[in-house]
Amino acid sequence: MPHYDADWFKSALNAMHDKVLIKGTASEILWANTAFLELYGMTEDELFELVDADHSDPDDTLQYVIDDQTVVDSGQHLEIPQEIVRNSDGVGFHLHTVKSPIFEGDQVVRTVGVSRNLTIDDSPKRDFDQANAKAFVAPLKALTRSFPNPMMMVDVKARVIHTNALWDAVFGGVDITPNSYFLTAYEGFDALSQCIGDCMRTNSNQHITMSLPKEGLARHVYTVQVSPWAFENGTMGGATIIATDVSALHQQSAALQSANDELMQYAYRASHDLKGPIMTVKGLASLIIEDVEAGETAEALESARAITIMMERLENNVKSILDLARADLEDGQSSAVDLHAMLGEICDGLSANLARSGVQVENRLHVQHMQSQPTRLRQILENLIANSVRYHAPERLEKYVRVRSSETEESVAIDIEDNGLGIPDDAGDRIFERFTRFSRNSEGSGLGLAIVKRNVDALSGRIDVQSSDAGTAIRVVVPKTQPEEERT
Amino acid sequence: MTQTILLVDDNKTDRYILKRRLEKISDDLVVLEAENGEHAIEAFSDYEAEREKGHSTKPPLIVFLDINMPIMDGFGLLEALHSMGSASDGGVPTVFMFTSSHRDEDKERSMHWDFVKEYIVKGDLSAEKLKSYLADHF
Repeated sequence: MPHYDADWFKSALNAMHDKVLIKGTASEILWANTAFLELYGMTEDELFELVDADHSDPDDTLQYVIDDQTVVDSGQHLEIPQEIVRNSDGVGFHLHTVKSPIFEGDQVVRTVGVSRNLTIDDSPKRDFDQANAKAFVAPLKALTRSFPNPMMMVDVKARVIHTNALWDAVFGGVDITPNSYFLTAYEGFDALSQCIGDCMRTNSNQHITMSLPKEGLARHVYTVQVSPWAFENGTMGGATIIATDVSALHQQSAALQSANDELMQYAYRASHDLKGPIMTVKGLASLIIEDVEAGETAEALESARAITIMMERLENNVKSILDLARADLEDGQSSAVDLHAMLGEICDGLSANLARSGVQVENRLHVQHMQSQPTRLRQILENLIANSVRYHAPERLEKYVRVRSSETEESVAIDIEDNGLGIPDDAGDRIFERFTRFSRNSEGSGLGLAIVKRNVDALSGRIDVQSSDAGTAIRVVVPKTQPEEERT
Repeated sequence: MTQTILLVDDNKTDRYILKRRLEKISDDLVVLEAENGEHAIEAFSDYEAEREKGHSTKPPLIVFLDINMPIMDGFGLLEALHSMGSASDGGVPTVFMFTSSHRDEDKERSMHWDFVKEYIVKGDLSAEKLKSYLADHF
């Protein structure tokens, strides 16, 4: 087991081909490994003069200090995918550098930089770097101003060098200084920062999807494309970051997904509700066979009657399911509606149920004519009246459904009031859900009020339900003029 | 020994069919009917009340239970039976689900209770199958 003293660690760092430099929190040089010293062709003692050496570019020196300070302040790594460093002979090396904080407790006490040579031809002259870079970037900046997307440019150190007004509006603007590192200027955008690093490290396009609030309104979803940009000579200059608002697409996709889920659920429930009566009939039919074989014709007759009732129910279920789809298919056309005639037709359709239940439909329609979509209006009235008849209170001597109408300048109100069983208090808005039944009387398809609600919504109307054990009063209000339907 | 069987289903024709099938298997049984979970609970409480009065009636030991019912559905009754069972000395009855739902999640949700012995889809029930399901009880 070796003794891990300072010499032991130094021997390891000195054996490395990468250049290692340790600095204090004020950017002062504390130690460098052999590879670093060899780059500059100097001894450890000579190194300490490096910062102020004649050949060092003051701009570069300032930049190193700023880089170091960023690491100390943020406590995070700073990756510089590509930088040019010149030795005492003025020979430039392309280096990939990572500067990392060294912590004692939660305090950054030193930094360590590790640089690796990139195998890039250093033919361009030094003059290019400073002046040419600015000249090269200027037209790019001009171009981004009129660009229709939020856009930002960063240099190879991921410092913000330009943003357009759209970017500032969406992501927030920053003062552009030599110190405006993306990492520190845009706190909380860690994933994007990572993406920018990946882009420059791999010299390839990257993208990321982000969601963020825009102008304090609903959250917007952006696809952010990060692409490297390079100088004329091929040297990597940094990255461009372009955001595209894909919220509408996202909403559409979410709406489509939810519509699809709803449809699946609907198809499942519809097939289930259709299957129920079929299975019952199947059971009855096999009983009939047994009864007939055993000569029990009275029993068989009873089962056959039950089949007729089940088939009627099945027919009703199919009609309801078709109604739900049909009103949407016939959507849009308003025409003159004669409410008296419509009510008469509805009562004719329900005549058998009315006779069986003893419920009287009282026509108190004061408004007879209106403009509306007849299929939808008819389905609304038909289902509400059928419900009143189905859920009548058998013990009452006089059972009624009163249908009234009244109007204001803007709308027509139709009231359907009965003295039936009423709707349980705890039902709430669930009464409008499909396949939901609240009564002990299970003859309904569970679709009636769902059909009503769908049609009322399509007519831009509203529906109010008042119910107690004395009966139910439902008011449907529809506007006289239909708002233009949005079609996309 | 006379068995008491409770059929819980909102469809009275389905109850009628099942009752006829059961009566073919044994003529020594009492078939009670309830049209939803709440009625079923009343049926159980009635037995409890009778017993408190000193009458030696037996609560239904076998329940055929539909899932889709208004007021209280099959799952509601399963939960109620579970809590009633731990409170009374009668124990929890054996339940056979009897439903038109083929849905896997309905089946899993039902079979989660250990007193649910079978999940029977209505159209699939034959006289032989019914007989084998009840073999342990007659």
